[in-house]
Amino acid sequence: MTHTLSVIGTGYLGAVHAACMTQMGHTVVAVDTDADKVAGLAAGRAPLFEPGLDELLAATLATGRLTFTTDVSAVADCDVHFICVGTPQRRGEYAADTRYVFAALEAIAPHLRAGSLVVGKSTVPVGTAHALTELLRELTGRRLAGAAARLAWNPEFLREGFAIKDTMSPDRLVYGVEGDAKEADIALLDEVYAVPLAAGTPRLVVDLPTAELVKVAANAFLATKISFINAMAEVCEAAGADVVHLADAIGMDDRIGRKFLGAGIGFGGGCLPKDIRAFMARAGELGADQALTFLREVDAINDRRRVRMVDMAREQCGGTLRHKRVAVLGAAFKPDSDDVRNSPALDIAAAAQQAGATVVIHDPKAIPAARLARPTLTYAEAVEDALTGADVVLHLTEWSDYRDLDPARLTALVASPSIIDGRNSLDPAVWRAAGWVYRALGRPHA
Amino acid sequence: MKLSVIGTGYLGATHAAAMAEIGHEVVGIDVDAAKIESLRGGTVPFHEPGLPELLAKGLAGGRLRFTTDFAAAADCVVHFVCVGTPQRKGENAADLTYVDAAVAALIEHLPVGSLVVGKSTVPVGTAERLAGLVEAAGSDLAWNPEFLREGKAVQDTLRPDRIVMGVTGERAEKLLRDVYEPIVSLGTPVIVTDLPTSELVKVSANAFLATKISFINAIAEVCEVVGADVTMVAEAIGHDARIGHRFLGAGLGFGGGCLPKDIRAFMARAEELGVDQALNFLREVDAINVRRRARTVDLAREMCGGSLAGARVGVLGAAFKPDSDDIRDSPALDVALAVQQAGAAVRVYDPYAMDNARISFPTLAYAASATAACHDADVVLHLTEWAEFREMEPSVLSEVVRGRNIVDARNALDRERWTADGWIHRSLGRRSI
Repeated sequence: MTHTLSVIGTGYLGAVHAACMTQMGHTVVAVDTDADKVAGLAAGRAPLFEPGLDELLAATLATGRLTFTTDVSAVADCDVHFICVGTPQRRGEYAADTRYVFAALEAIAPHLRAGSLVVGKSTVPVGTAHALTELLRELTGRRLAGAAARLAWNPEFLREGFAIKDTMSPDRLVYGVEGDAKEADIALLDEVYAVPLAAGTPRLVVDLPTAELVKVAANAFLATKISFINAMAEVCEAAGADVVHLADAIGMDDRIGRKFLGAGIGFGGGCLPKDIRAFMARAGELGADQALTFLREVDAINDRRRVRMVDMAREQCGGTLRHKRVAVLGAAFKPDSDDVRNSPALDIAAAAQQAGATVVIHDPKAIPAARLARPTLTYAEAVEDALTGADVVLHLTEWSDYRDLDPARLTALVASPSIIDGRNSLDPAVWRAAGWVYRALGRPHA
Repeated sequence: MKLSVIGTGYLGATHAAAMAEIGHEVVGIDVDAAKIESLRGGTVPFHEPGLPELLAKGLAGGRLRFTTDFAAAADCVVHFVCVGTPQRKGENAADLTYVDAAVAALIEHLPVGSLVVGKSTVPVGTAERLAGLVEAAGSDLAWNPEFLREGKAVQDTLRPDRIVMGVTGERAEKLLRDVYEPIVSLGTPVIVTDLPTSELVKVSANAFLATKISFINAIAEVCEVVGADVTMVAEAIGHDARIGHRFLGAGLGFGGGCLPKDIRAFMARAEELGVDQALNFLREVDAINVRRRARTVDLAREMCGGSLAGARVGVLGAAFKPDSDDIRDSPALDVALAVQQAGAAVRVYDPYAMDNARISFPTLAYAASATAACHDADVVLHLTEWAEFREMEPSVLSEVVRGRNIVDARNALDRERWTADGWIHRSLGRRSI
C-alpha cells in the first residue's frame, strides 16, 4: 500500500530520500525553508553532485507524485513525516547542533493529523528521540487527544556516491519504536518500505536509543577501522614494511575484511569527523566519556596523516616548499562526490600553500564547492594545467580519472616527475616504469 | 620434503602433525623431554579438537617423529621455528629468549642451503636480525606467521585464510611454495612480501581483533548508561559489509595467551621504534577490556544486594574461551578471583579447563558439575560461552540455587528462557527485561 509522505529538509539526505520514496510508489511532499533550494529541486536540479540523482529527480518529478515546497502546511495530507534535516557540529564545540531537528518538529506539529507518524532519519546524539517524543506530546497532545501523533527513529545509512542504491536496497532497515502503538508503527513503516523489504532487506526493530546509537556506532567503527590501518602505516614507515601488503594479508581474515582498510590520508567529509566528535561529547554528558576515549586517538591518527603528507611533499621538494610548485589531484573528501566539507585534500593543499608553495588543485567535480570553501587556493579545470611545472604531484582523492592517467604522457609537463600517492590507489610499478619517483604513505620508498 | 619443527607446544605440535598430514617427513624437536615423550606416545598435552587424531595418523604412518636431539634437523631442508614468545616478566615487551635459543641451536646442525622459517609471533625487526645469523651459516631465513585460533588450529593450518611469506629472495619463496603446495592448490591465497611486513601481519591482525572487541564493549558501556541494547547495535551495524558481524560480541572481553600479550608487545615495540603515539589507541583497547571485568563483578555485587561479603557465587567457565582448556589471562578466572576477594564463596566449573585452573588458581574452589558449582548460590556468573552452558535448561539450576540471579557476561544465553523460569537475568550492555 502506498502512502502520502512528507520529507522535511531537502539537503543531501532529504533530496535523495524524497526522490527514492517517490520511486517506490509513494506520493511525496518535500519541504525546506530554503526557497532557492526548493526552486532548484522543483526544476530537477539536485543541490549537490550524487551519481544518478539528477536522472532520478527528473523521472520522479515527471510522475507528478513528487513536489517541493517551502510551505510547511503542505504536510497536512501526509500520514508519515520524515525528518531529514542536518545536525552539524556546534561552532567551537564537539557536540552536535540539534536545533534544526527540534525546529522541524515544531514547524510540522500544527499540521499533523491524528495518528500520524513522525520518523527521524537525521544522525542525532542518543537521547534526542526521547526529548522529541516529549516535545511532540506537548505540541499535539491536546489537539490530537485519543489518536496522538507518534515518533519513531529510522536512521539513514547513506554513503555519498551510493546514496540512491543505499536507499533503494539498503544493507538493513532499523526501526526504533516505543510505546503502546509500536506494532502499528512497525506495520506502517513496513508499508513505506514494502519495496526493499520484498527484496529481502533485513529489518531490525529496536528501542529509540538503540536506533540512535546504530548510526553513530557504525560511523565510529568505520573511522576506527581507517585510523587503525593508518596507525599501522605509521608503524610500517618506521619499520620499513608495506602497509598495502599488510592490509591485503589481514583483510583475508573475514573477521576483519579488506574493506575500509585503505591506508592513506584518512577520512573527512561532513559525517565521520563530526559524528565521532558528537559521540564523544554525548558520552561526556552521560558520564561515560572514558568509554570513547579511544575515539580521540582515532581522530588524532587521522589528523597526523595530513601532516605527514605535507612533510613528504616537503621532503620530495628538497627540504622546503618555499617557491615550489605543487599540483594537487583532488579536492572532494572522496571520489564520486563534490563534497569538500572537512576534506583532507583541501586541508593538505592549504597547508602546502601556507608553507610557501604555489599550489594548483584539480578535481573532476568539486572545484565550484572548493572555490567557495577555500577561495584563496588556486584551481585548474584540466589536470594538465594543474601539473604544468610542478615540482611534486600530490594524489589526494581517488577519482578513477587519476587512476586512468598515463604517467608517461605527463612527464613532459612537470618540472620534476615526482608523485606522492595519498590514497595508495595508483599502481607504483606503472609510475616508476614511466620514470616517476613514486612515494606513498606506509610503503617502502623503493 | 624433509622438515623439522622446532618447539612442540601448541603451535609446533599442530604444525608438525599438519605438515605430516600433507605428505612431508617431519621431525618435531623440543628441549622438553616430557613433552616429547608424551607426543611420541600420541598424547597431546593440551585440548585441541582433531589434533590427537592427526597426531596418531602421522605417528602410525611413520612420517612424523619427535626428538630432543637437534642433530635430527641435519637432514631436513626446511626448518620451522615454532617456539613461544611470552611477555617478559614485569614488562610489556616480548621475550625472545626461546626464539634466539632455537635459532642458535639449529644453526649448529644446519646443512648449507637450507631454509629457516619463523612462525612465532615476534616484534617487527626480529626476522631481519635473525636473517643475518642464518645467512652467515649459509642458509636463508623466511617469515611465515601462523594464524591459529585455539579450538580450530587444525583447520586453520590445513585450510588457512591465506599464507603469508616474508622472504628476501626467490629461492625461499620457491621452497615455501613447495612445502605448502597441497594447501595452495586448494585455492588458498598466497601473499609474498618482505620480512618486516610478514612479522607485522600477525600482530596487526590480533590488534585489529582486540580493537573490534573493545569497540563493541565501549558501545556496551554507552548502552548501559542510556538503556540501549548493544546486541541489537551489533546486529544492525554488522549488516554493513565494511564492518561484519564477526567479533562484535559484546561481553567480558578478550583474554588468553595471545591477544593481550600481543597488543602489549606491539605497543612496546612501537615505542622502541619511536612511533608510540601510533598505537596509543591500543592502551584504550586494553583499558576497555579490563573495565568489562570490573563491571561484571559490579553486576554480581548489585545482584547480591550491594555486597558480596558472605554471598555464594557459582561460576560457569574458567577457560578464556570455549573449546579450549587455556586459562592464560582468562577473564573468567579474573572475575572469579575478584568476587572471592570481595568476600564471596566462589565455586568454579568448566568442562575442560579445571585442571589448568586448579594449578594456576589453587585458592579458588572447584566443582565437578554446573549444578554442583551453583549449589546454594545467590548469583550465577556465566563467564565462558561453552555450548554446555548455552544449551542448559535453566530449571536444572533453579532447583539447586538459593537465588535465581544470573549474570550473562557473554551475552550468549537465551534470556527469554531464563526469565521465563523465574530468573533475574542481567548482562553487559543490555537493559534487563
